[in-house]
Amino acid sequence: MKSATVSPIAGRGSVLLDPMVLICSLIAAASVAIAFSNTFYLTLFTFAVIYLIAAMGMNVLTGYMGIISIAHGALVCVGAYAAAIATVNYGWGFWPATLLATLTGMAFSILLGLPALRLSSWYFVLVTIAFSMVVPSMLVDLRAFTGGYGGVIGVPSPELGPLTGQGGFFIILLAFAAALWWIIANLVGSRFGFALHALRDGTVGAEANGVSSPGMRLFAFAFSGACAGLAGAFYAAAKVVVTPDEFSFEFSILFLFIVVLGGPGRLAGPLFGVLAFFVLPEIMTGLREYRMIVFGLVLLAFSVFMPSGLAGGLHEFLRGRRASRRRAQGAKEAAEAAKAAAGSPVTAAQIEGAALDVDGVSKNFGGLKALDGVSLRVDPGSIHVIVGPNGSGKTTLLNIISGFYPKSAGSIRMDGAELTGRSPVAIAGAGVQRTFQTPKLLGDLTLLQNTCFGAYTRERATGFEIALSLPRARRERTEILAEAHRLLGVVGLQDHADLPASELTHGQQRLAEIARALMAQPRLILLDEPAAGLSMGELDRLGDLLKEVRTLGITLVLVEHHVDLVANVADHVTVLDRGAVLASGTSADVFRNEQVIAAYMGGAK
Amino acid sequence: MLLEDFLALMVNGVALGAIYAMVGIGLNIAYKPTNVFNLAQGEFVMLGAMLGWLLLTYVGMPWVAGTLILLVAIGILGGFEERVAVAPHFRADSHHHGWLISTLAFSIIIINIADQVFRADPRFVPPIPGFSLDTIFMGPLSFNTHQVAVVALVVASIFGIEYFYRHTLTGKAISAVAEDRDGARLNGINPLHLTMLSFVAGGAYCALAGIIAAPLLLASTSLGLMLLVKGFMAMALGGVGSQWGTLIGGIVIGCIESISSILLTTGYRQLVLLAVVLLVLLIRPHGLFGKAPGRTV
Repeated sequence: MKSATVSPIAGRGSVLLDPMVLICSLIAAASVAIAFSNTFYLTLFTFAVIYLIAAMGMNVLTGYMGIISIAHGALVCVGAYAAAIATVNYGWGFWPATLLATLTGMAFSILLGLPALRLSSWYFVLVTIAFSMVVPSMLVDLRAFTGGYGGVIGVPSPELGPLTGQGGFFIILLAFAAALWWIIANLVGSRFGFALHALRDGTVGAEANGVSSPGMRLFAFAFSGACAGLAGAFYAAAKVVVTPDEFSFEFSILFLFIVVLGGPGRLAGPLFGVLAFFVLPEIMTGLREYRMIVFGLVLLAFSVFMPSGLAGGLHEFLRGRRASRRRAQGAKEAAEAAKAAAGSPVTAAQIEGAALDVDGVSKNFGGLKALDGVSLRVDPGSIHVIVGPNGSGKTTLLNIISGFYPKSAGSIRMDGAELTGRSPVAIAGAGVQRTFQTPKLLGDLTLLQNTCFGAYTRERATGFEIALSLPRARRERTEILAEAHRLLGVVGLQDHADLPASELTHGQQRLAEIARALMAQPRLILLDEPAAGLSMGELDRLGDLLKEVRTLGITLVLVEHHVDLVANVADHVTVLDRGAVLASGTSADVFRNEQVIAAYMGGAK
Repeated sequence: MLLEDFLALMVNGVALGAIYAMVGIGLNIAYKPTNVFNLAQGEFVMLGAMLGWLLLTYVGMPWVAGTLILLVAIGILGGFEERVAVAPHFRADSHHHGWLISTLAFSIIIINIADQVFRADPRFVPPIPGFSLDTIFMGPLSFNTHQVAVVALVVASIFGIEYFYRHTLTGKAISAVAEDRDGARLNGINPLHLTMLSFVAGGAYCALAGIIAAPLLLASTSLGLMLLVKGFMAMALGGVGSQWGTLIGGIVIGCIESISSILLTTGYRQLVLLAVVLLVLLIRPHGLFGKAPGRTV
């Protein structure tokens, strides 16, 4: 099939020719060349690379997951002191001390993050401000251990075989930064990166897709803390002397500038950030006194006018130019691809759909009975539609089945196993996918990436395998990309695979959500008003698609108003009214039922 | 420890706590209709203190006149901040916490300009007229009348704020917006006006906190960040949105800080406070008196 052969990252065209990659490589090469031109620049760029390592870690937390931290500089400080004390006071070698610093940074970051696992992210901002104020004063107080104001003197530089001296140190740093870049690139292009994005956009959509929010947050805290600790060890070595004065509040804020202004949630963001907000100001020393005022103004302006930062702005610029060049040839390709995909089956493998038993489920919101003893049975591999007037409890029922609301009474069993009382994440993991009344796609990610995200619960490669791009992770990635392209073909969106999801029409977003749900190879799919806002053509496609999904064996539960669609696809219809089952049967039966007509038309009872 | 010493520390702690609570309440005021925490409000307190020094000590204006000018000026600054740093995020309807960055940026601008203008020396600001910083002894108790005035002012202001939210039309409208922004809009309330109003009020309230805190703490440009963190701790302990809870939280923080000042050095004191706040948030994520928000699917 045509679309499956397309290159995964850049869409059409080689990754190496992607202008963004090209620009970053040129900048990196130029920086290295300048660094080796004289010792001033070598020192400057040594620190730039150290800051880059720290900032890349923070980008995972602040950029990709959207949790703003002011404590990153303080964590670098903790790492620097850990390495300095281990080497100078206890005579450790540089590398074991670096490992210690990395682990220390990670531990402190996790500790700080624990309350943030359950709280809104602004709590974390203030907790981290408090932490960055505590660290320098504790360094003074723990005089016997940290040397007080005098600090720790004589931290050795790293050496590795022939790499010695300042030049060798710089090359070691470059290698570390490159490795970290590669690891982060692997992670953010995988289900981990998608999950981080999903959490930034809110926990509901992420949990419905099986992402454990505390687990991912803990991972982001640990990862960013480890990077800060690692950078701290190098910082101590580059400085030789560490003192509390260096780790002022401004030092902490600097990383925020680098990440947020460079381009949060973009691979190249920290690189641009370090060059623009560390290297450039260091060269323009005349401005030093007013630097923070200028930075503050720039930060304010960026947060309002260019929230995606330097890297994001450049990306948009490049995309705009490429798009206009491609538009002409794109239309022709698209028509061909649509033709090729039109007849393709949904999935090769048959799935054993789940049976769903809802038994006497009630839900009270305060005094309001949203559901009152609702029972229904969904046969495996059937399409069961729940209809009813507004406020009759349809969406509430879906929310209870998928674990977002606790029930007040009753039980829900999938193939005999109780679902109530389990978390949305656990229920998603058991093979239940759902969509929402307002599509919850990740607007910044491409349609293809959104679709791949659907496979979250069934991917087996561990974070470690993905980070290092080990064979199983690579194999799985290839399979999932091919599958995602194919499913996009099935819903008729294959031409839009490389578009950001936010640029799709409402109807396309709904179809994309169904493609994403199918990616999980679920046994039960819950669809909340899939036809709302669809055009006539899209409505026909939706009807065919639902029937195709049924032929695979997947059980479908729909909440839907659109009578034609219901009559077209439903095996069984349950009518809810004021939280109770009013009628149940085939669509022909229930739509002739006088009570149902009365409930919908508001006629006399 | 002697009883007299202990009581003196407690009095000091309560007065400090009342100031922390004022900062926390200022955050609450701006938060209520917006769900935005104005991170620049610590700097508004600092400006209240520093401009208080400028107008009252340096220029020598009468207290009431100087304070009024100050409240108006910083209230306007709060409104200006809302226009440039917060309103654009509401217009963009972004659910990312863009305001965290923009209000932080605003505070960075203020503090660095203030640093350039005032430099780092601490400065003296006179107490409220009719009150003084002279210690009065009453049995084992020792205190000064300014401390009493600070506590009384906070309590009175909480009564005033609660009355405003419950019994005035604007106050009710703000409560309605806090409850359901879209619902309030459908009832003809314009949330954007209330947002700006709340930022003006929050700014003025913080300025007042600054000018009455300055006689006890001395005015300096580093005051803002410290008070922002302590005010946040008071609010987080008490529960977001609860004024009385914030007052109790502030007093707890103030007393822990005051008592520990004879036992611990600066670093440990801050560490203890941070640990207390983290612990409370771990056990009760919405504070001692706060309500957990409902879930939205």
